[in-house]
Amino acid sequence: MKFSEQWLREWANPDISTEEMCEQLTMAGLEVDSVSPAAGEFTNVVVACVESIEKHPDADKLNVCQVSDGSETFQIVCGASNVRQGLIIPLAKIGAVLPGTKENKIFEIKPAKLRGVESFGMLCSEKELGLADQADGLMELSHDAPIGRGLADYLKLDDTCIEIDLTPNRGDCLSIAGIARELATLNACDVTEVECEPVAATVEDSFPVEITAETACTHYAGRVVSDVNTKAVTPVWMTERLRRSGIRSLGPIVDITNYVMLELGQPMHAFDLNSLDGGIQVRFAEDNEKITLLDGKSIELDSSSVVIADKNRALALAGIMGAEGSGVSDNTSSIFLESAFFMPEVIAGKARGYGLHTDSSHRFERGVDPQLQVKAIERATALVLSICGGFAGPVIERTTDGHLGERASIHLRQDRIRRVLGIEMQANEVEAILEALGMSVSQTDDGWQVKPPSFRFDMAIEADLLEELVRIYGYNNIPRTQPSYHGSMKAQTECVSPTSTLRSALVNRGYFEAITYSFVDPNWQKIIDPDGKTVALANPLSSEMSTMRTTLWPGLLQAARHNLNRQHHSVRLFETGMCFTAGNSSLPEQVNKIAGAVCGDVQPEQWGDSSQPVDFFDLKSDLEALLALTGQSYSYDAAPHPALHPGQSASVSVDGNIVGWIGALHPEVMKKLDIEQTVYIFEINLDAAKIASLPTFSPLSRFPEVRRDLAIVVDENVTTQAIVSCIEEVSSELLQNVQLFDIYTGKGVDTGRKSVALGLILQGFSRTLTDQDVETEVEKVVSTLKQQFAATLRE
Amino acid sequence: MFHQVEGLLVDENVSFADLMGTLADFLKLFFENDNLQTRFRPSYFPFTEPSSEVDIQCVMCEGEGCRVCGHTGWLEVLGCGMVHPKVFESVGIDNDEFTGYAFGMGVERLAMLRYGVNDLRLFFENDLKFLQQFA
Repeated sequence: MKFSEQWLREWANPDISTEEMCEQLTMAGLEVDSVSPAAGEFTNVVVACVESIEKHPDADKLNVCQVSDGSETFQIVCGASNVRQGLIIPLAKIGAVLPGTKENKIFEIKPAKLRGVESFGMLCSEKELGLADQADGLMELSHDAPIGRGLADYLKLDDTCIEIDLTPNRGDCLSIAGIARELATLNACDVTEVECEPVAATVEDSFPVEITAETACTHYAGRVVSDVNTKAVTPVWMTERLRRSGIRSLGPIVDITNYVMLELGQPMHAFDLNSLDGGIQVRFAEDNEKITLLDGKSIELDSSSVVIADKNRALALAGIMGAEGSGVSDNTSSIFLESAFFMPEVIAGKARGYGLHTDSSHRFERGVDPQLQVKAIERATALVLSICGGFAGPVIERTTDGHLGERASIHLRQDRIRRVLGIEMQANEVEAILEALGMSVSQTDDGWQVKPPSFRFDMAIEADLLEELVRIYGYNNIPRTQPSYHGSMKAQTECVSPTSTLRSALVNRGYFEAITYSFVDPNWQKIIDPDGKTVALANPLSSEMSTMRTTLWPGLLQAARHNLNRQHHSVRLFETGMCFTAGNSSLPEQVNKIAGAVCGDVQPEQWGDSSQPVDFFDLKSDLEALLALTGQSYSYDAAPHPALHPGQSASVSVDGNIVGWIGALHPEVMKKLDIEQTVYIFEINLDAAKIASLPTFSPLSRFPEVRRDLAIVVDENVTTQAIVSCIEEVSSELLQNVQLFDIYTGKGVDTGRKSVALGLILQGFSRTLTDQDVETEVEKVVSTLKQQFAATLRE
Repeated sequence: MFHQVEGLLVDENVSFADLMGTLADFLKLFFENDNLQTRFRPSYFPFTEPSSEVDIQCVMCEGEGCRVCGHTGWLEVLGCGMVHPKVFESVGIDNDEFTGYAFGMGVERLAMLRYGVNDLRLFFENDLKFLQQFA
């Protein structure tokens, strides 16, 4: 809601500055969004009249005008297309300083020569005076504007436009009257209401009104005003106030209805009486009923919408916008004024549903004072008669049974003030605040019964009143205290690693944590996880963000590519986050995952070591370090994955269940994603990575360890994991560890075979091992390996 | 996109004054400034009443007024309020016996103010030149 400060001060005028007023309103919950002067700063601009005009001898688009300020006549060259004899305009005289526009800063008017013709001043547009952002010609002043008078003085431009950002519960403040009430309450000053005395009917003219949508429209006031002059000019005081509220002047009748809406908060509508047939009907729309609105838009209604209709057609979408062909035009001679009350819940969401938002729907959705309709129609009638003339008929009023004339009273307990707000308030203080807000208050045993005024739609329960008390008391006058807690200890199991531990593990290994969107490009998603059952978004931000991710890889790869494209050649990123898969139930399955992506060199560039690109094993060691935190044993098995290189791809399992994948990005995928450098990626279900086991102590042996190294030659396709498992299985409890320390192929080893070097670490618990013990153990291992893998000992 | 941290305290005697004390202290500790000024402004949220928005003294200009705070000297950082009776009702908590407060704040918003980051989108681009500044 934007308004003129001058206008507000006519209603409530506390002795405080503009700045103080804005601060007060903001701190009372009516947040001031902007404060701007009503016009740019200028000097020496007066009301003047164009006395004569002739073409510039040397320029097609310029005119040479003789302009009078009442005492002197100036020759002025002007390029505006609307300049004409008799026009009343603002004249910037020599020496005038204008505020300028965004393009041209402040400038001073000096005598000038335009194409050889002298010019002594400038005729101004609204834009040049800082009255509007745009203008398509000179500002045209009304014919009764006083020639010679300073423009700022004439238009009372010493004013401020204040814009407040109202919360949806404060529909009652969408008017000068409403803001004035707040301001008066905050300053304990009076409200001077505008006079809305009933206007006596001077003619019998009336029009039938019937409400059939009784639950939607509970009160309707109408009135015929005949023989109005719709070509009359809206007085400057009204257009200026409208302008300062951001509303354009559209002719006197529309201006008056807008003015009354801003002043009192009652949206109104005026129909051309001669375009109406039969009588007004307030009814629910028929399904698929069509209406063409004033803005030219055609919409199809359903039966939950309410229309104002005559016997032939819908004339307006109730509380939202009028229809084409029934509004006031230059040819209108008699009007029918409407001032109605529509239930907020019937209007709420309707305008938006039809892609509309109007000043009227904005107010009805939030609640218009149900007692305001007649007062507003009287005010509008008086303004119509004084500006457009005419004769008023009687007020036609219809009320249905459900009309909320008054609001229900609310029980307020004094004890709740202390308990909820944390302050002690005296009874008289409470009563003073509530009464200042227009509530009627009566005492009860434990507090008060409070009856809110009809315009406070947000007052229904005790908490509403508590909020009002503290709002007026001042939030910042409340002492700031600390809650007292009843503490109880919460267990934190050692059997689950916090995610922060996992993050630290990767950060310590040189990774950076990325956060990417859960919404991904469906193309990337499809390339990386073609079999994933995706969830598509109903209202995506963009087509590139229209699918929920089933894996963290699309986001991480995109981040990796972003960095590769910005000359970062080594990238180490990880992310933890939720992934989503369409399941059998209506809700998608959500799985928390942790994933990493690396590419580039193992080490930053340095002199101690030549640069070496990362490979599969570098990434595997990072993942192993991460999973070492779990204390579980994982197996890595070569297996194909659509996103991974066929020769460098492994599933990660625990107890036979696949919990993740690791590998190099598939060359085809790299090409499709436009990534030029090999990226190694892993992803693990976070739950699997968070398992931690409670350590169980085993006693330490006090006897020395013995190590025996073996080099065996096996077929190339035998995995070291199989060899180690076999050794562990066949050995006795003397075997403490198997240390793999070399794999060799090449000279000295047959083609198709590889040499694997292992250290067996043996230790006794009750005695030092003898050579015999060790030999027996090694012999057992060697013979089993020979048998199982056709291994030969390498001499 | 942004991330939101929310807090909820429900007990027999939790008051609006406690909410204000808790948040004012949190903000002082977060910004490591014992003299950080905070103000509570009435606002509206459907799930709390009374509701409030919380402003801190602008961390860029220390309240003098600058472009970042729109020359008001204040920056809005979070929303809060007393749990609405309807919320308690819907989860079966007795309104007469218990009161509670709730608050919510944007992680990126606070991080931007704390570290002087001027563009929210940077948090989601994952540019190493950005991430390395917070390593």
